[in-house]
Amino acid sequence: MVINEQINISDDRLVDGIIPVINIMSQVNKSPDESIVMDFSQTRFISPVFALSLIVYLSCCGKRLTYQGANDYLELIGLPFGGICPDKMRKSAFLALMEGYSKKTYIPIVSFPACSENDDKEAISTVVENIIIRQQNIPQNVATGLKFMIEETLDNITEHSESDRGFIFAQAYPQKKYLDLCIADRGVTLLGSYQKLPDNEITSDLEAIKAANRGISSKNLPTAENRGFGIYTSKRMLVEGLNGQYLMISGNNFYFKRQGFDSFYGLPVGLRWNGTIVALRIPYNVSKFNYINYIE
Amino acid sequence: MKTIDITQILSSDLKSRLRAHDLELFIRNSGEDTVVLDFSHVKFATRSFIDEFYNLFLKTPSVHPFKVEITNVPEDINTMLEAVSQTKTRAKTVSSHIPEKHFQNVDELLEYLKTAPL
Repeated sequence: MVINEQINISDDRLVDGIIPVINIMSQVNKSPDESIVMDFSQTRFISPVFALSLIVYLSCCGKRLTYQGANDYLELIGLPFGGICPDKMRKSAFLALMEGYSKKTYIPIVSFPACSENDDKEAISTVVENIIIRQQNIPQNVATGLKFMIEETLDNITEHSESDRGFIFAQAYPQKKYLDLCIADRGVTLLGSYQKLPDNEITSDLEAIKAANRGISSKNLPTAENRGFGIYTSKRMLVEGLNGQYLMISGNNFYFKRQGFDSFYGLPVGLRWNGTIVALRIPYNVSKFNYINYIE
Repeated sequence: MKTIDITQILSSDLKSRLRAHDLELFIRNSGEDTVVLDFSHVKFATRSFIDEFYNLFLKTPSVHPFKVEITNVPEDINTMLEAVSQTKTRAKTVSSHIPEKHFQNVDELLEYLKTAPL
């Protein structure tokens, strides 16, 4: 089966990135073919949400995949092959490669080892954060909040996802003074991570995404870490503090929040991401923002 | 008693819960009865690290044969320590009013996504 969607995603809305992915998922689900050819020849502009939600879906769809037709931009960001792997190169080589993006408005897709025993993730995230901050000269007050949001999301992947790898991708829009950042894993989903807990009461993707986003209560763990504060705090920083937007996809549900609006969504049967995707639209020119005001 | 610059053992960016456990092992292996952790060179910490740090070193009663004190803690890190200490005894805020929408088929979902004020 050849999939050749016309893809040209504007940045008007953060969620626009998942529309072509849903089209692709629907076609793949309906096809009896064991092999899929992703033809990117009609792909012009993409967004981080599109890229990582596609990578997560295709890597878990159970089909044999090949790619063709990717333009220079797609090759440069690493979309066809799932991003660059810093743990498979020397640290200095990764640093040098990323320096090549210091004057661009995007970073390449970075695929990092998600195993908790691996030291590389922290060094990788530090390099990625520094490049993003330098690219747009993000003021220090927002930069610290950005690091907080990235690190809390990465922590969740390491601690809960059981994913072999995680992914991060960012694109800035300097005229509009915001950047879209997406972090994803192909792990057990929010539901899977809750199901590992003793005395778990959460039994569906919807309950899991609601619990993670404080839509329903979940038990505090009095003798262990308190789950969910990273997501809650990051969301408050982003939406209340920076007037940003938050999108989370896990299993067959997604959640969207911006100022004055939030909602959970259940997808039709058959549409499912085997992993978790978090996308943030981060306005970065907010002078009165102080990340510590949102810590609880 | 020994004073240790925490950034010399870990990093000026304190990330991940596992790093707090590495620090615990370091202190245990030092054989010291009391260790003072100096935070003066810390630039950044995640809530997850601070939460684990609090659990391991500051929560009472201690389960360790050693005592840990902290010094020169930056204001924002101190705020985070206070926050994590309070969440141990306080229930999480729950937003029960968030609406939900379910889609029966892909066409309905796509129509919504293309037109909704998201």
